[in-house]
Amino acid sequence: MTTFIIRRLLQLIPVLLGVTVLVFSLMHLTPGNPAVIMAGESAPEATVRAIEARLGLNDPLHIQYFNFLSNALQLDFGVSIRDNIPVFDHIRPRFFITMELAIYGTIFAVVFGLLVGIVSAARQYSFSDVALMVVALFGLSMPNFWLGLMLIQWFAIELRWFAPTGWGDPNQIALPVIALGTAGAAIIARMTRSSMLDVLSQDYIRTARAKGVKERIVIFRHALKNALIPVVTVIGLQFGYFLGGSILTESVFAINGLGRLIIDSILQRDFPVVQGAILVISVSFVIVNLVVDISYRFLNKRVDLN
Amino acid sequence: MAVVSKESVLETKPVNPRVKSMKDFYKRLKKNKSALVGFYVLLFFFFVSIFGAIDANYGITGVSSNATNLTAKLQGPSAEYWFGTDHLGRDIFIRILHGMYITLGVGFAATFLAGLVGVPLGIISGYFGGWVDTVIMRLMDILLAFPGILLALAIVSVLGGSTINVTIAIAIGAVPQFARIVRGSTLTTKKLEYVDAIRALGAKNGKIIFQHILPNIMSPIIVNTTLFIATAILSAAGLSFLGLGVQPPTPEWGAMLNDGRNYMYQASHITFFPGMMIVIIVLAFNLFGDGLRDALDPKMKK
Repeated sequence: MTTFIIRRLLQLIPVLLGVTVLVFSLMHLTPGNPAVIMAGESAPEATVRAIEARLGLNDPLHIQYFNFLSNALQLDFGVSIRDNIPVFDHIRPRFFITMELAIYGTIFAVVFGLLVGIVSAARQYSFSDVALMVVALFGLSMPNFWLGLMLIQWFAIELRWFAPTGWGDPNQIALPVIALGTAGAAIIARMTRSSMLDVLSQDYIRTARAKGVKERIVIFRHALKNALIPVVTVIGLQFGYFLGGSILTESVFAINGLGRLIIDSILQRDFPVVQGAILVISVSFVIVNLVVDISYRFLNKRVDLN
Repeated sequence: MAVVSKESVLETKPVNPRVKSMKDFYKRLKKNKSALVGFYVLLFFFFVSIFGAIDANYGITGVSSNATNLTAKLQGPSAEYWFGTDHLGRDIFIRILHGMYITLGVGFAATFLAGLVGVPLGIISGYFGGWVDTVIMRLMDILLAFPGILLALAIVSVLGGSTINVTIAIAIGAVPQFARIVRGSTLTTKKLEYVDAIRALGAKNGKIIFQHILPNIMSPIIVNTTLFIATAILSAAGLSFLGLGVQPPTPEWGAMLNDGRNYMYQASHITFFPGMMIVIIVLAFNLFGDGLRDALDPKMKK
């Protein structure tokens, strides 16, 4: 187990280096002089020179990358072009909001996904199974930003049950969490259903039923435990995808998270902020994946992840 | 003499198993009602989108998707405007019709490009193994480190928003998924005994790959292509919704949703219809893809 964790950690190093190279390249692959783009076309020469000097754009590329990397390791992503505030100060408060959104979204997805999946599997081919799976397929096919708009329309504008925008109050949290979590809930429901059906067709379940164990106990005590092992991976992946998916949800509900920061900064050509925020999201995603891998290994000792 | 020539061994195969399995496949697919529904819906929209594309460029209906009419703005659905009008008085039904080929085209093109790069990478990685495999898969891991729409977003932020750039950005994001799936299937196929036998008979790598590996891994490729088109359509709409994808006044559905969200209090139909169309098309791809998977992989079928 320890060697597995160490090996996984070592594998992370080239991936994380690659991620930093890609993020670093963003500014340099953009056509034109980044300093001119950031200062604006009509900016005076001096402003452009000042930005060039501050970002070290006149150094050779490998020196620039090395500085970028060593600064990033110390959580220093430079300062925002817009307001000269350190990028990290922009990122930190918004990071927690995005995390909160992703965590609540995951909880929503897990609760509803498991519930629907278990009910569906326990009553395979019944009316409720078919109906739930149709709903799940719809959930999977809906753009989360459109679902968000519709939720605002129905529950905020017409019924006035919830606030249409913002983050923090309970009545602001519900709609974005549903919008973000629905697709994940659908994926987890489908996964749980097929995994449960797999387990329910196994011999030990037939034995349990033959012994006269109540169906409820068969499902929750005997089957669920084994059926959940593959589902755990999906849950972990969903949390990771919510970090990326929250970009759209944050835009719809005007939530001041990392996603919105990225969009605003792209539109305003504030490269250091874009780079820092993208880097933070992908590193978190990589770490989440690592934790998922390790917990999968821990839960399922039979799997050899060679 | 019992010396069997190379050719005769290769040719005396029993009836081509692929042909048999194709018939089987159609039979299974036909039994799957929901997959058929998905297929016919897609076929219908395919023709509608062609009509829309011709109409958008040569004006059959005589209505332009960008014809503004400020006396008829923000009107609800009616006999004249089936899906209502937007804030500039543009006919939303016509805009959806004219935008359909963009949505489908970006979905198909991005998936095709991703497959064009991802499938060979996956085969090379799985077939040759060793350091080639390690290098390719680590590169794929790097691309996979950007969750969901984030990589496409980063690429579009560099390239700028346009229909072609959105297609490229989404394709790049999908390459690792194709590569991973294809690599896995190649690894399984490579280990089959008959591949060993063919190699022992002196077949070259190229021949083995094209005649024996590729046909065997087509099913997962086809299934994932179908399902990926659905994801690509969602991502493209998402990028345009954020204002970073296809630019207005092109009647792209995500961009239309972005237009409409400022008028939700007065005219909710502007955001309803384009989104509903995305749901229907993506749903059809998902139904068809699910059905394909069941039909191509009998083991999965209960």
